[in-house]
Amino acid sequence: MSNLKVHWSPIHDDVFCTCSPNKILLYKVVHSTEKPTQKVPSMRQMSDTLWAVEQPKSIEMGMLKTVAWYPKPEPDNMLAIGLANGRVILNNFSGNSESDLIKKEFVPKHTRSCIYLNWNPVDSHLLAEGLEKYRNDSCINIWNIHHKPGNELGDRQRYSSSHSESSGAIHTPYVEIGGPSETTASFCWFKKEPRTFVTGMNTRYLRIYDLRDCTRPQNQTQTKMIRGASVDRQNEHRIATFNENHVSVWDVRNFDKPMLTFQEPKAVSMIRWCPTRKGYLGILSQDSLTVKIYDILHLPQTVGSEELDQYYSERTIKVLNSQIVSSFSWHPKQDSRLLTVTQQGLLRDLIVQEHIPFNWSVDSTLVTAHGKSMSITSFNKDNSIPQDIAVKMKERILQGYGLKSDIIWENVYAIKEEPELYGVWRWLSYAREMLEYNKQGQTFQRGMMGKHLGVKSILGLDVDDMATSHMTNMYWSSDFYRKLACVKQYHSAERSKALQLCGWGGDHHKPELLDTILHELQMDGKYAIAAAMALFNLQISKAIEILSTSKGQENTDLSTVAMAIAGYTEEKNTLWRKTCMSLLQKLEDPYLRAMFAFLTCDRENYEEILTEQGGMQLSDKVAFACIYLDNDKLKEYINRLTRKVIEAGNLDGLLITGLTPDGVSLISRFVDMTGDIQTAALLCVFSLPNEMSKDERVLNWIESYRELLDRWRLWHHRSKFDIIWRAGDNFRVISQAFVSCNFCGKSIACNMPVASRARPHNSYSAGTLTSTKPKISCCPGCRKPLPRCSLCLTHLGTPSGSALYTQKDKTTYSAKMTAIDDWFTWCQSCRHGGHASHLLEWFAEHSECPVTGCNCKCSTLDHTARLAAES
Amino acid sequence: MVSVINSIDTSHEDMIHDAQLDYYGTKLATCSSDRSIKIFDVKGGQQTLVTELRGHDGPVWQLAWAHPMFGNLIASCSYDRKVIIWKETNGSWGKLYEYQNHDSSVNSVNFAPHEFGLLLACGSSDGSISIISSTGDGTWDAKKIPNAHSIGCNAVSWAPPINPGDLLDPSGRHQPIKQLVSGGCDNLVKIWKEEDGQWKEDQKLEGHSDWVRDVAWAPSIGLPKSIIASCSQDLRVIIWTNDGNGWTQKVLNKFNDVIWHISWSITGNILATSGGDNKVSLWKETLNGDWVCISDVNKGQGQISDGQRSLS
Repeated sequence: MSNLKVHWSPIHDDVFCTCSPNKILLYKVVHSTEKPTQKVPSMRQMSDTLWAVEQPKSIEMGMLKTVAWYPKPEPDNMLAIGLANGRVILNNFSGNSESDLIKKEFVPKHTRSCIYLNWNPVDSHLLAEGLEKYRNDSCINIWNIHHKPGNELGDRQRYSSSHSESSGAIHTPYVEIGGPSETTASFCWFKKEPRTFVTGMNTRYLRIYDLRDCTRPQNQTQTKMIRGASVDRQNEHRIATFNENHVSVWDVRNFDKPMLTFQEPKAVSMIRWCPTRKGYLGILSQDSLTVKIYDILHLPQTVGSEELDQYYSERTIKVLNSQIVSSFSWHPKQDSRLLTVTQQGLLRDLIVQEHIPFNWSVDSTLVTAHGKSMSITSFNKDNSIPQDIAVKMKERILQGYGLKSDIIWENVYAIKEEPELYGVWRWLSYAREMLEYNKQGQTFQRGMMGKHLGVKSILGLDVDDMATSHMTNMYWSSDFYRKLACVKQYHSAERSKALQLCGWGGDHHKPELLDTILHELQMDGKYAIAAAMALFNLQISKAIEILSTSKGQENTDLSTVAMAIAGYTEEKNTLWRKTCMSLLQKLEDPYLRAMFAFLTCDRENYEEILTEQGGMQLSDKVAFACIYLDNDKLKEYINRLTRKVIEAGNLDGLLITGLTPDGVSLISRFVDMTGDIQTAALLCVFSLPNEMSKDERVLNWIESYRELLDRWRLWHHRSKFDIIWRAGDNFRVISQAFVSCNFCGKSIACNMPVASRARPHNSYSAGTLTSTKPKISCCPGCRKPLPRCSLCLTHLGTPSGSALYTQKDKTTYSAKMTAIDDWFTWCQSCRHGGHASHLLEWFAEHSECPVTGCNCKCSTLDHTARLAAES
Repeated sequence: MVSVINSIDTSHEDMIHDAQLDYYGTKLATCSSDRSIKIFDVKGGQQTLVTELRGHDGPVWQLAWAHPMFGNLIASCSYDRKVIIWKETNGSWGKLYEYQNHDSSVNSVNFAPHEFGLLLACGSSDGSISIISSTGDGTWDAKKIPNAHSIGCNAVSWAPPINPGDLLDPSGRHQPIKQLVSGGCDNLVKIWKEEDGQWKEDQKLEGHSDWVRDVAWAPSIGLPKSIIASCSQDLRVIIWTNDGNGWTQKVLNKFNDVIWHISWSITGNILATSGGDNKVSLWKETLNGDWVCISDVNKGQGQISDGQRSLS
């Protein structure tokens, strides 16, 4: 099977044949995504989803040299078959001769092997046959397949008498080309001028003939590159030929020398232009595992006076691993579709892919181009692809993430599916609460006033100035447990603040605060957390009560734990202790584990609770540490934790660091891991004022986020973000535009401070109450009337802003505002204008300025309006 | 899941070589071997052809939009050795500037970050890179890096305006440094830096063993490091990273076919690659620094059915 050839049908899109020296098989392509359940011998895989089904009829004959598929639909699937004795037989696979063409034979005068067959693509009754050299016969016969045996002339019959056994055969070619002893190697018809063809002859000529004058070639060039002549159907000036390991591309208009010559590592066995794609030349070399494709984008060409270089790129198409490709065939109609067959007979159908240019849009969709068409691809939410952070950020902001500045906690409503971000928002809300509380009179030591603090700063660890704390021996609160040994706790004002920040209420002198928190936790169904918090505050009966009253799926579990805790005993090596130890391993809830750990641990050794991976939330660990660790241990613990959270980029850790240099390093690590520039920017802005507001990294996050919002055209959202940012930073944008009076040149703004306005007449008007009210339609400076509205012709002027200082009651929001309708506006180009509402009405129907004689196309100049209309 | 939202009939008569969405994603520009550039409005998943720009005498290879603060401006480069800057004024498009100072096909064009003003770089098969800037009064100024890549320069990409090193330096505001990366037929990736108005080679990154087809400097939003991706005919994509201690390379993947094009998503978290295997693949860096393919968008292989090729 080493010399297998493959040919697509020129007519049927899904039909091809393979030829070996003695057999031609016909295949039909079927589409199937699944493998056939049982092995069907006639099915052969061509690609992942395509299968070739062998048709029951085949053609078997010996001496088969070459095959050419008839380019017309009738008769169906007719092939011209050239034999080693030079005969050409027309045949199809059905075998029944519904057409008189089938089984027709064309016999050369002298027996010699057929080299090639080539059907004329337009005058499809013409079939060119190349023959091996014969002493006194021509090497190219062009047969007319409609010739009838009877048409043959008498003198020819003499010669044919020796072939009397093939009585129906045609012996006279339509045209013979090439004189005695000439040879031919290759042949290709032109399609645009179907009477012409190119052929490689005599091992050194490439010739172009015209059938209307076959005596001499119309054009010829001397070259050794005479094999495999092939005309590019996309550009018939181009011809490719090869010899040994060289391939040349010719332009027939400049036939003297090839335009391009490629050198291949091995001898070339066939070349073919892709019929559908401009400039694709497929090349197969001997013993090659691949098909090579030259994508000739440009032959050298002259533009104006300049010569532009050639431009091509090469591609190597792997077919099948470690199988030598025997032959290939371009699909006649479908773009760049290539069918290959290996020497072992394996088929592979593939498409030579174009360069796919593509680009991201700001919405994280991909725009891709393939060939002449384009598509826009989006990536749906799916478990298989983690959602890109950019998409996520946009979704979040549309849900209002980071826009709730009044009640900070509400921002988490936009990130319901990302509980890992809750912690940091909880810190922000507690810190804000504490800030507000401090603002209301209570001063706080060490200049911490007006900052969102982290636990570290509160405890004074960042400046290594830790307030002394009092060690207290606390008793268990319930009477029953009074007999138990007391537990060492540590208290200080700073520790209470820290507890408050952790959401533990803080002040141990106010047990009702704890009750409220416990109640809230229970309402949220967080029984284990509530119970743990109660227990750590030494309210063991409360903890038991919480656990036993729990409602929910795990309540049996919790009740069991409640029972276990109720049996608490301090004695070591009791059965209770042992049972608890084994139970501890099985508990999945970290809070329940922490409770047992607390009860069973050796006093003052809380490592297990504080360092457990996947244990309690960070805030609860910190709170616990703030109660039970002495100053040295606490300091060591907090510092250790700081290093850990920074390394992990764990945002919960901001509770400890606050927005300090440590905090910024932490966020930096978080951004590095998640790309979540949004949360980073929001944290920096929401925690304002902070000491890091001028840090390059912080500013970079904020600017990057703002630019993102701009690119998404979420300008309103960006403005809201700016407001929150600037409000926190006590930053004021200076006034950007003033309207000044034509006469006196002063600003006509009514809300200018009275003192700054020159009042020429105030000497006598100052006394009367009415005159202090500015007349809105004239300049408050010189009292000259303002220009008229070009539409209603009344004087312009608006009380906008005047209410600010005429009305002292600033609490009602609407009192400040006057309708924008009355505001005056004007065209930046012609400087004509009027009331905003009037102009809007006018430009709804007109594009030209309303002022007589002014030809300004005001509305078309308005870029913003055009943008608004576009979107 | 990957889904094709819609397919666009561009009515280009030949291969499309580039497709670029503008800053806001509302305009789409395409260019083709048919020598034309087409501009579409993209609105609600619908595209309408706004205009067709003709002016090149050869295939148009690449396009680049300027930042919208300069108006609607697009640059194109072509086999005809020209770079043309087109501008929309009052709704109609026209040529603003034509640059003809290359001796061979211009393969790549890219606008600098808007912080640097109206400035663009282009790389040519003549091996040189040009940096063209608008002086603001309607004239244009060009600087040339001759012999940037022997045999030819295939791609140029600008660095983001913020130098990552500045983020770690607390001393305050820095003058942004103009930097760009280029890839060429000498198998090299090179980084260029402007110093005192002169463009100088800053780095030569060696790692590829065949033509470098495309380079892309990552936006690296908020990160204190520089990241560059390059792809080559040697079937590899390399990620180059510099966190202040020099450039290190990591091979993202060795593919089965040539990789022609790479592109970072807007926040720089995903790298998309396209190559001869007809796939657009998306890559993401895991926490331990490995790159994983998170998606393949197959564009046709194995989807030849019933005589038709579907697009997805």
